[in-house]
Amino acid sequence: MADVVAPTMPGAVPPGADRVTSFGRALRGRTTVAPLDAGAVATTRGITRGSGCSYGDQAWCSGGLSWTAPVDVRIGTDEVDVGGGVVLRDLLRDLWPLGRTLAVLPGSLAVTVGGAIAADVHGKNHASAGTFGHHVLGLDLVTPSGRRAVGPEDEAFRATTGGMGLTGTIERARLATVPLASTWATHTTTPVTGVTDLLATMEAARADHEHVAAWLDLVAPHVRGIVEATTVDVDGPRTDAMLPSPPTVRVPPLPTSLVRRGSIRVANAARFRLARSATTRVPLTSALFPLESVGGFPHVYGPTGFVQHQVVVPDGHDDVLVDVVACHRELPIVPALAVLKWLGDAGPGHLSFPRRGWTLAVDLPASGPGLGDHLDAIDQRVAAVGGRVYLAKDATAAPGAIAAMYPRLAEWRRVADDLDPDHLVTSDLDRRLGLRRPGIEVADA
Amino acid sequence: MRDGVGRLQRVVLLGGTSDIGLAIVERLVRRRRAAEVVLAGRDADALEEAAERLRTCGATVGISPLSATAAGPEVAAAVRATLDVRTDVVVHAVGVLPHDDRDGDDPGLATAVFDVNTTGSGVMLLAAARTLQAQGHGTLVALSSVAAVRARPDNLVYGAAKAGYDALACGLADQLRGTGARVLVVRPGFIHSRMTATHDEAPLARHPSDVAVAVDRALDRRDGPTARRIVWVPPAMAVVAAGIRTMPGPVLTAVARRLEERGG
Ligand SMILES: Cc1cc2nc3c(=O)[nH]c(=O)nc-3n(C[C@H](O)[C@H](O)[C@H](O)COP(=O)(O)OP(=O)(O)OC[C@H]3O[C@@H](n4cnc5c(N)ncnc54)[C@H](O)[C@@H]3O)c2cc1C
Ligand SMILES: NC(=O)c1ccc[n+]([C@@H]2O[C@H](COP(=O)([O-])OP(=O)(O)OC[C@H]3O[C@@H](n4cnc5c(N)ncnc54)[C@H](OP(=O)(O)O)[C@@H]3O)[C@@H](O)[C@H]2O)c1
Repeated sequence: MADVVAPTMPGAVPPGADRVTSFGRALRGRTTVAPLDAGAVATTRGITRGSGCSYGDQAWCSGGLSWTAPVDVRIGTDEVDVGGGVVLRDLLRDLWPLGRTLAVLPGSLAVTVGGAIAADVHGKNHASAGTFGHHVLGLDLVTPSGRRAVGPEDEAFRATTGGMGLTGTIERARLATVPLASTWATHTTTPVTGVTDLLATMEAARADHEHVAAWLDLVAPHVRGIVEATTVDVDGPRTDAMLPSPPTVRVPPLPTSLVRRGSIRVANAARFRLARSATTRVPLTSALFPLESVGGFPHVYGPTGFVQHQVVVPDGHDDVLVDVVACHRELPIVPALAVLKWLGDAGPGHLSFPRRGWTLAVDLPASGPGLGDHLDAIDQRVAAVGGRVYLAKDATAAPGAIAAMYPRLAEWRRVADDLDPDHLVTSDLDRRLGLRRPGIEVADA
Repeated sequence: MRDGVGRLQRVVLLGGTSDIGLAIVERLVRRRRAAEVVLAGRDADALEEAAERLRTCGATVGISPLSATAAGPEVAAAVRATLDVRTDVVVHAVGVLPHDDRDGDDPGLATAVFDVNTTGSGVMLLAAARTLQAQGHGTLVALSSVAAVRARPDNLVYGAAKAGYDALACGLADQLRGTGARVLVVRPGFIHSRMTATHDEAPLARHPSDVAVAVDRALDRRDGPTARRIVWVPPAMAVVAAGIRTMPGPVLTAVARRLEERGG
């Protein structure tokens, strides 16, 4: 029976590999996590893994390798040269005392520089600051066809920013920094009822605040929310004691989910009632990264975890946004946490998520296959008007839906194929959505 | 690739005309958006007919040749040809149940049963398990039988053949722990299907759709130290099997005879 052996597969790894999960723990995988090895990248199937803050199977390759990037930091006057594996929080702890910061920061500072580029992340200030990729001056990319220095004018740059790691590993990046006058911010909260009024309040807030986002309560009898607008103070002080720091409280793994419609209804009502229309001075960290204070919060969803569904609805289609909100409200499961932001112009990458319009992100308990069918319906509605799902968050999209959402997919594929002709760079996301290769894969045997 | 809510991408049925296997696949297509299906078997016309039915449920269906009685390496190659890295579930439903092998007196028949149910099927399990192991994800659903628990006098050869198959499947289930791939060993009792059409109904008889529901439910739970690896259909079969396994020989023979008389 000599023939019945493990198929020789480039990238085959021994069993007993590392366990990995999506941020929401709904997806799990087995892969071998290892430090980047440029030689092995040329012969082994794998993907790069940052901090694992993406919400699906973006950052691992089942049965293959998951590379981690270097973590060293070199600081210049108005730029930094950092390893792709550097965690944004650590970088800011170096930069803030020097009066510098990064122009674009996502809601979690646990994210790595490589992950921020690969997803071309946006902050609450996207309308004015663009995406993370807009502030990248250059990259060192390790691909199966070799190492290359890539600048913003290169096709490989456009394929890599937002390319979900599928063009190779960002070993290093040069990032522009911007001045930071203060670690304090002026923060305005406005409780609002009704979607139309929420959108109008956010639009008004945009006129005189850099960072605007709204928390939505989708389980109340009428949609309501709190618009939060933040502007970094221009006249100090900079307090070193207010540097971003890792969570001090951690939720431990729980045997069951605490997220039920009843518990969310009570929590949301409390949050809404306690909110006042007010303007206060607050630490920048608590205004921009409210989720940073508690670690392990996905554990409140119990062992089955949660997914996050994030779409952008293009400008001029508020009716579709209203429909999407209504769909979430009618779901058989509870839309536990919903955040609405406004996005400005598109990012630099072929697969950058942002485009001008509203983006809604909703955390949902991963209750079972039925939920996916509801989300498919939302995706279709959004795609029909030129909107899209955020690949960094995706856990459920239909493979066939992506090409319509990302019209530059074919262009991206061509560049990625040039960098990696044998398709060694692959993730479970890539396989699930057929990003690099549409349709049937060749068997590994 | 399995998605965040447990929906599937690609499902392969070895024994592509099996009533039980097709019921499982149809459920996965309908409930878990399994968009791509491969039916592997030896009867091209029957496979095409089954494929057509699944297409009406929305799946893209391909067919692939597979014979349990070919030489081992060929069987393994035929299985591997149906798999690619995105395969989430492989259902193995190949099997034969002789109409009458009560005494195991027909050497030709006994050989055929061992060839298909143990040798050929075992090679298929090994080939599928190794591929899933290498790709680091996926579930192999092995259709064993309650008959595997003990070769009863009324199905001596089938029971013995399925016992070999079951031992292999359970061994693979243990071996694959921690690889990301897993094996689910399904032990149905009497199921109304083409296989049992000419047989007398046994107690606790069920339908292929019941097996499908049980397998689907087991797929809800992801792999982990506590994940189930054995599925009885109906669940009460677990108790019956424990009884059969521990029953003294003479009692078993008497019970078998009684059942037979009642059936006949
Ligand atoms: C609480 C929370 C809040 C968030 N808020 C926002 C937000 O406001 N805006 C926003 O845009 N996103 C947000 N995100 C999403 C997050 O920014 C992205 O998913 C980001 O990609 C995660 O980075 P990571 O380092 O954890 O990467 P991982 O999750 O490990 O990987 C994500 C992707 O990046 C690729 N990658 C990672 N490192 C490299 C590298 N060195 N080279 C090449 N590819 C690499 C991986 O292959 C993978 O495809 C949030 C996530 C969380 C958990
Ligand atoms: N029905 C029950 O009561 C019951 C109970 C417990 C376990 N099981 C097991 O469940 C599985 C499926 O059974 P079922 O009830 O669905 O029966 P079925 O409809 O008769 O299916 C049996 C399958 O095996 C295939 N097969 C038989 N011999 C083969 C060979 N030499 N090469 C390739 N394929 C071959 C058949 O293909 P063809 O169409 O080409 O013949 C058919 O696809 C079997 O393993 C069976 O032992 C059944």
